[in-house]
Amino acid sequence: MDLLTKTVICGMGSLAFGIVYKMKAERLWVVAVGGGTGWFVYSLLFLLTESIFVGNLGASMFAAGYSEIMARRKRAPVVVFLLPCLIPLVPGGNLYYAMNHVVLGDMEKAFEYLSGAMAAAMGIAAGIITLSVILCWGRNRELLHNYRKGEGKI
Amino acid sequence: MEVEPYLDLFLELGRSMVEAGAEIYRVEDTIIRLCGAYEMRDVEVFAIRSLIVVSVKDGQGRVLSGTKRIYETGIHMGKLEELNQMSRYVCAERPGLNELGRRLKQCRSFKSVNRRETLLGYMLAAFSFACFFGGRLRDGAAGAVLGLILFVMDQKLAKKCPQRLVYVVLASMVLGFCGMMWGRLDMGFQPDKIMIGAIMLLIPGMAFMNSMRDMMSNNQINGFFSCLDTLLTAGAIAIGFAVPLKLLGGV
Repeated sequence: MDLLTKTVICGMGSLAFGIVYKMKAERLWVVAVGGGTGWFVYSLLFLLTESIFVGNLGASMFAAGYSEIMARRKRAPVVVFLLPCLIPLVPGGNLYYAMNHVVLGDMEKAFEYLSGAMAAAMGIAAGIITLSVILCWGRNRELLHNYRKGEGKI
Repeated sequence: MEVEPYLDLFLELGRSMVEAGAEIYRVEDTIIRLCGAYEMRDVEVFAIRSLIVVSVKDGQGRVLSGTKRIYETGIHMGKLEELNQMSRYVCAERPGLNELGRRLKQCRSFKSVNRRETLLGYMLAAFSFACFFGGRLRDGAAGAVLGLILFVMDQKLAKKCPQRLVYVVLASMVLGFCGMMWGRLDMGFQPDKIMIGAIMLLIPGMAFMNSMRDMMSNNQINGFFSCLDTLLTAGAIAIGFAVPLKLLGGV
């Protein structure tokens, strides 16, 4: 299947998950665009580097950045946008085939799929973490600390 | 000013946020800001996904505290957004007790989608991911049927099951059998793609993502809780799907 079709399907999947997670209707197109573009970024990076980890890292960084921007613009919590955008990156296929090969007793294949799934999960996690480090949480925390002690306003 | 009833309402708001799937730092941050807006001093908050503890000092320097236990967390983004908006409003306008209670009630009963739309979401999700992982349109359609079955189970069975992981195993077993049955029909279905579409709906993406974000905002305890939860749920899904695969032969 070509890249464009898959990107569209991804957008559709993200939109469907937006409904499953009970988002407001006017936010749905945001996650549809984010999910589709996130997967597009992943496939581009995967074609360039042939590494599942790097692909997921880039794509989840993109999804996290996109969600942060959208959250500020729409004045909504970041998680609302982030989760549906990340859904297409979840290695569901790898998990299934790993389990399938365990059942069949083919441990070598099972391990291969499982390590793919682990690489994807680590990539997604690393992407989220990298972006939140870039966004510099320290400043925010200091302000909050002052506020708790009753000094200063946020 | 009597601050005790306010504190209780703020804790209820925090509980609703955790139940809707908020990250821990957001809940703690919200409670600190709310208490600050109503002139409570030395606000100390500790929250994990099953408990919120707060202690504050009121205007006379008396120490007040409150605790809320949380038994169940789910995902309800619309409600979370409403609660977030409400806390912004409360910090800015500082409404009275009645108004606060009324708004909180309104937020809690907020519904962004009805049952029919949720069902559509389940079916569309299973359909698109069955196609996404390499299935053809007919596999997608078969996946949508599995989405429908999962929706019915989520509505009817989930509340009756005392243990969530047991429910996940049961649901995966049922979905696995249904997926294998599609394969047995001999109409060119690919049962593996169909089942992957259904698995995507079961995977605990929320817990995984929240655990990463919690660990990054200095809530390692909760991060590890959520991470463990993710691993256990993934294991439960694997066990559930392994049973029909073993009984009916792998794909």
